[in-house]
Amino acid sequence: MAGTQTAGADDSGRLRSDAASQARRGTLGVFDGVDAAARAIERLRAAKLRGITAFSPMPSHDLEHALHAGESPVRIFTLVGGLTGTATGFALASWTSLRWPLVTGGKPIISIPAWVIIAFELTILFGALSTVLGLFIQMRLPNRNVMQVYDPRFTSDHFGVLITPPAGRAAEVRQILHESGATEIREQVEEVSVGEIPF
Amino acid sequence: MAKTIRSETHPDVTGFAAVNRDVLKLLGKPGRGYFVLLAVAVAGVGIGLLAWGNQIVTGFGMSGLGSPVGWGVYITTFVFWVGIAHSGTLISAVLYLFRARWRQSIYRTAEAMTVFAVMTAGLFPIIHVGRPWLAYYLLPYPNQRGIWPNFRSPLLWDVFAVSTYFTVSATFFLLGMIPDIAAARDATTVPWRKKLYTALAFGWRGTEREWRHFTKAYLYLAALATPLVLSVHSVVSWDFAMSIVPGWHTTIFAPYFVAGAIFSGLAMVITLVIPLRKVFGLEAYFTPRHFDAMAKLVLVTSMIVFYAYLTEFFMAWYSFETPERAIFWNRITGDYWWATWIMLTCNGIIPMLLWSPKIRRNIPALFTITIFINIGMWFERFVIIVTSLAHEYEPWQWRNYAPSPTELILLAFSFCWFFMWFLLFIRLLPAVSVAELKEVLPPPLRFRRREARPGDGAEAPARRARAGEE
Amino acid sequence: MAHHASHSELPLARLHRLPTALRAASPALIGLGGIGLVAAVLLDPDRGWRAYLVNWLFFMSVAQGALLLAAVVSITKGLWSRPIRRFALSFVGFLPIAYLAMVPLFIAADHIFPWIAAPIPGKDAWLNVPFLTARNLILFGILVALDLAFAYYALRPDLGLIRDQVPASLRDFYQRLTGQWLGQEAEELRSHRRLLVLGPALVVAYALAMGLIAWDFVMSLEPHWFSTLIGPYFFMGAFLGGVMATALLTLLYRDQLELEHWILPSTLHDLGKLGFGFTVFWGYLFFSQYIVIWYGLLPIEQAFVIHRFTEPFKYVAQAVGLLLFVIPFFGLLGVVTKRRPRLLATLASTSLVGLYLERYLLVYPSLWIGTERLPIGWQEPAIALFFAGLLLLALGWFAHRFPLMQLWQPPSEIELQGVERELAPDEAVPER
Repeated sequence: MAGTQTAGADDSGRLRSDAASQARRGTLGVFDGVDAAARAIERLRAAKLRGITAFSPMPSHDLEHALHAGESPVRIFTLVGGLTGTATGFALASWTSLRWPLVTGGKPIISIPAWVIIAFELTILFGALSTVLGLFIQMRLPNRNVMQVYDPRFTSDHFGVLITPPAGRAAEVRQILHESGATEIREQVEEVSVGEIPF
Repeated sequence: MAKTIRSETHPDVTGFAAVNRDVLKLLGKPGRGYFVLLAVAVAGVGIGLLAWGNQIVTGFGMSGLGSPVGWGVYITTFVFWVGIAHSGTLISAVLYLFRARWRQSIYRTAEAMTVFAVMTAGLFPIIHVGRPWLAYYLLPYPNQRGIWPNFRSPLLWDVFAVSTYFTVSATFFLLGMIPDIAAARDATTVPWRKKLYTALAFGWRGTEREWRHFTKAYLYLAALATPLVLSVHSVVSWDFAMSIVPGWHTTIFAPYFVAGAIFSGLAMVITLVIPLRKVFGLEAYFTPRHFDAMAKLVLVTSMIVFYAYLTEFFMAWYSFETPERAIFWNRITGDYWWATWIMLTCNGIIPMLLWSPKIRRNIPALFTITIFINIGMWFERFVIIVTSLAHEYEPWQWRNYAPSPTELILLAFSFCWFFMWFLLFIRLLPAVSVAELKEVLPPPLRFRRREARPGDGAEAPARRARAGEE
Repeated sequence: MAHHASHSELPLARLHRLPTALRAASPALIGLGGIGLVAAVLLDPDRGWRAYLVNWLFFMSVAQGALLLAAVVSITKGLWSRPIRRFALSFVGFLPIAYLAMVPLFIAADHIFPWIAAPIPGKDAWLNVPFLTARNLILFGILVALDLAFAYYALRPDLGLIRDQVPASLRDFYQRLTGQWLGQEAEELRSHRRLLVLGPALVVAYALAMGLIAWDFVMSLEPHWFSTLIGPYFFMGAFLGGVMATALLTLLYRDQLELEHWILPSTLHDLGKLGFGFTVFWGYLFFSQYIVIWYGLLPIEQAFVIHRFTEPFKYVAQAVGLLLFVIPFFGLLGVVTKRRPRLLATLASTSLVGLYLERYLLVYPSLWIGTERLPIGWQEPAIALFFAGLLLLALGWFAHRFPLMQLWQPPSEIELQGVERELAPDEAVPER
């Protein structure tokens, strides 16, 4: 699905964050089966509705598939962080050794085999930390906007599909969610606190 | 109502909600037994700190170290705990990359063990240096003397390796826990717990967006952590192998130490998980199948370690180098013969019992074997470190070493310190991964299960590929 | 039985196309290379036999490494490997040849081992020709016997499945191999049980026998030198060669036999990952050995490294670094190269050329200490052609006789596959 994937990701990604901020007008379908949730998403998308947020207690290929999500750009962070680490390792060891050029153990001042170890460790360290940084940026977390559309059952055994219907299509959205097997449909969804994040 | 299908990996787990219930149950109010254990651990830590304080105030003579044996129980214990730390990342990262199907329930405990074991190990070089308040000299920081650490020293490599390992494994540990902490946040009613979990869950809601990036980042972290695991114990081994002490200066040290680390770490995971499973009634999550798989890995690493022992003995003989030959002969017949034979028996011979599938699935037998391995692996490091130093090139230098009471107290302290953190962990944070277990359980479905398409099951190659491609 | 219904869907009929090409190529190579071998050995026995040793080490390593891969994926029940397992196994035909080809090395020992002309005092308990011959023939013999037994039990249930469909010329052969047939289900169970024992036994024998070969055919060429890591370094390199050769063979068969529907990009991706992983591991072992020697500064240890890192051999060393590590490492780091057949084939070939030069580098510098000219000429490639011909002959023999895809499934994998299907019920959602 290479072609559609990228396009779909872009617009659904942007719209999804819009959906979160205007959640008050959204419609939330709660599902007790992942197949039903995936079906709902597929039907909503078939009806040319965008800006869908899915909730699930585990990573789900079905939901990802149904949403036509794009490739995660986190790997760029890993790569850039890792390369920075390599460079830093060699640079730090060489620079500090040249600052006080003292021969020890019969080794050259710039001892590449020894530097490889330092550079390797820093590659991993920087790569890992920048992956985490990239991840939080991509996930839009930590989320300081603590009032969110949410249901605590989403970390247990329920799935959710949230959408902000365009004007005049609310009934259609409700219909689709219902037909797909939603056990609950909430409109004017309440914002539920996921707690206060102290930072 | 959603249908549930039994999982083959965890046949007794009934569904998603059961996972939340069973796992989050651990975060309830602990019983008295727990506090007794915790009190013992804390008391042990207290006594250890007093002994350490005494060593600082009175002087390093409180340890049995001297010339020529300048490295003894402290460094042995350091290497031992760094080794223990390896299985956590092995199970969470390496087995993740290999798509092993039995790691899900066990990896969180193993990861926690990793983090606490590094925290334990990290104390010992600091205890070992005479003036621990100057330990920061190890760090490369600009100072007015213009002196930088010596990057050609293996000890400095070790500082980088161990601190990187600690940072990365702690990050991996905390990051992997976010969805589970969110589950705990949504389930708990205790106010302070709610606050703690809310903070650590970073506002996780389980949206598809979050999952998508999360699983990718997890993959990349696993890919970074895998070579890291190889490097850390390799660098520890180079603390020894770079010097030309007989018995230390040998090329096989790096992979041999890594295999030994994984071996001891897996044994420790088994030792810890068996009581945990019993006490908290988690039999459905840690099944004999899990123990079987881990025991197989223990067996494999045991054979690698034993191969390395034999290679070392052979090469000492073949090399025709007098000091090499003498040191290995001394190991098996000299003053420390008992330690060497403990090492050979516990690490090479006893694990051979695991060839039997019956023993691999027999929990009490497995528990006993892993205790022997833990002992054997401590003695392995003791043998490597002490016998080599006590018996170097010049006979007039030879002197034996016996640990002092302070050193033994601090050895006991290391266990108390480790268990203190571990006990706190199992009551504070989800000790079994809630979300990842759900990945291997059949998901709740609303409708009839999709019919297997003709040829779907049998035609493995094509089907498998579909899974990989998405 | 639902689980082996699939063999009818496999293009059994197509699986005979390749050997024709192979059968034409291999006699030519063997003939040409054979002439080269004879000429090399007669004109300059030292050079000839040493070139023979290098080539034997390389081709034996690759084939034995591939067998190890077949054993390892069987032990670990890696489901991803099902489509390519048989390709790895198909190297088995070369191993009896490699075993026989080992014998001349002992006969020509005078031309190879420096410690025969200049014995090392005290070391003669290990370094003497009778013991050398006996221990290698026995240990490598055990390994080859295990290879054959492993292959036999891995193949046997399939032979039963298709023995009625094979061409008439193969009927007898199948009849012989499926003697004392117990019935399909019982045979599968028996094979499964035997493989559970043979797989681990093969792995253990591999480490011991290949470790010994490293000690005797690499380490002893520089008789004062010793390194505890040389064994693992040597046999993990061989395993890397096995993985890369399996990848190359997979791509070849995929193309020739039109197996694109069975061997998908994801399978190639997994193979690429494996190649990448063991490239890194090879680099790790190289570094682990190197840094200890570099740091120790002991003359007895350094000689080995210096002989390889100075003129004229340093150019080969640089090529090995590039071909066996740098190019495959960066090449296989990304996703794209692993999934594109052409790119993967190029990288696998690069790695194999690198491994060939690495085996060369393990042997030659020890035997031409102080030489000014790089001893590389027509002899080495000529003998390589000879061995390549033998390898192709063995591969063609296998492909001609046995199904190139595993048809039966070990019981434990059926169970696993069941789990997998339940885990992801909609993996089979039609794509795009």
